[in-house]
Amino acid sequence: MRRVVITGIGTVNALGLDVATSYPRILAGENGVSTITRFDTEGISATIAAQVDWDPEACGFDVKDQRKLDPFTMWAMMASDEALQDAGMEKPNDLPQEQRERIGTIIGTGIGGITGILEQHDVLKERGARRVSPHFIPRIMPNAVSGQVAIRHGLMGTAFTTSSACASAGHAIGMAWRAIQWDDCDVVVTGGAESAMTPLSMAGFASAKALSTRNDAPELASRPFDKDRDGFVMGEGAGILVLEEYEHAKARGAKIYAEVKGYGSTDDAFHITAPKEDGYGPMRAMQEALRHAGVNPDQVEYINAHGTSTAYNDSIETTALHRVFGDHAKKLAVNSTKSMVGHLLGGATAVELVVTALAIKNAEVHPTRNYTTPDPACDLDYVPGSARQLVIQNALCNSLGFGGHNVSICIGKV
Amino acid sequence: MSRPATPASARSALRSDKTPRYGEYEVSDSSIEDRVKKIVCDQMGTTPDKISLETSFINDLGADSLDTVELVMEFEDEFEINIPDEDAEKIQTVGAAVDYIGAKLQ
Repeated sequence: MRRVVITGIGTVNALGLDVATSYPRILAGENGVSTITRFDTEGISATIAAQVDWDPEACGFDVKDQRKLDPFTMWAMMASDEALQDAGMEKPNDLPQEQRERIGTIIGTGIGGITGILEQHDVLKERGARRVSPHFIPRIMPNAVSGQVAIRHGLMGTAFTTSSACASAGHAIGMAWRAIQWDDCDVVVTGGAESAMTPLSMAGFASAKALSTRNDAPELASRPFDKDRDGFVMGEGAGILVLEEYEHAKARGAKIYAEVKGYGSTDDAFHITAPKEDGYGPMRAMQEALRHAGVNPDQVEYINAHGTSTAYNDSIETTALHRVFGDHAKKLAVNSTKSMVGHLLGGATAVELVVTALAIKNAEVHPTRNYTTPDPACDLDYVPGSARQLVIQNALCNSLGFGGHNVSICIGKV
Repeated sequence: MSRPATPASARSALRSDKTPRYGEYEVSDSSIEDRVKKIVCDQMGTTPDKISLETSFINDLGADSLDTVELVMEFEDEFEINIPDEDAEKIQTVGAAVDYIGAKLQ
């Protein structure tokens, strides 16, 4: 079977518009959560979020682009520029067509273009149907993100979007891995993006009681696995990875962060939002990722957890880890990137796999911010306090989404 | 390119105190030409000094089919007229838009 490695990474998140800016801040356990300033939060129980601080014009998107592109698409375009450059493929457009036909684009999003939906719904109500923008549908459709990234770089291989709520990027990366393994592609630009920080979506998540309401202390709100956690904090942004066939990467002398070794995907088949208490679904996803990777549980040192900071997720994910790893579970370093950058929903696993790849390459894992009070239901080593040196042979990156979707990706040293 | 002057009657009818909907480029004289140019600038992300009556939306400003639909919608909105699809297809330049709207408002 063809092997798959990570040769480029890029991100946009609350702690920075690229890896070079945001990763050191993640490693330092910095806070990315603040009071929402983008819109009036009157009446919404959660008024905090991990917001991307950006100026579209300064990032290369003029007024024309901004009418045609939702933020999730623009952020994925920025992160794809960064990841391709990092991979030493600055201008894929200049490659011969037969090479570009072997480069795919598989990017996930959970919500899609809700910013554009709200904007054009106002137009419909206030100015009538004949004034709805012709750019509306191609802006808001979830697959706009993959289509626009493919167009930007001239990538003519398989291209589509996965949507499975918080597991969207996990599925995208899994499909990218498969596309290379199966010899459909030599390279896939993959990951996820989300821009769901609108009054409507915030109100919806708040009504579902999913969000932290620690509005008076935003910097303490995202506290995965901590006893005092009270919900997730909305994040936004994108993560993009360049996945590449191993021999292809070696032949062009590309730097390699890590190998994507396995992918497991299951469903709880239980409830549309609540995870099943026994952790069976995520357990099976992790076991499948390890089976495909040919890695034994005791060969894993690090888990980049889904760790949302909701009561259910964190205890059930812990239960699943116990079921997969047995006695070895206590030896794992388990952390949650969401403690810094919030929950990027469909972009979460992409940013977290970028972080996991860097952890493997640099032999250092970031802390779980705000982990101070142990919860008996969460009894593993969550890397409290500060970053830790850790040589990692193999790691799992988990995502558990509304819909009961569970994805685990096994990555490790080549 | 020659074009008929906008009839004075139409001009005076259009010279209202209507506040421009687009704040970016203030126009002192709200003639049809200025108002069309303003819409084109705002929609296509360009500046008045870069466009003329000969400027083609597609060839010079990089508009695609959806952009031209949107431009026509903005013209309809600004001048409170209806532009049928078969007419819209013929409006390919700034001058063509000015002429068409001028005739429509007569």
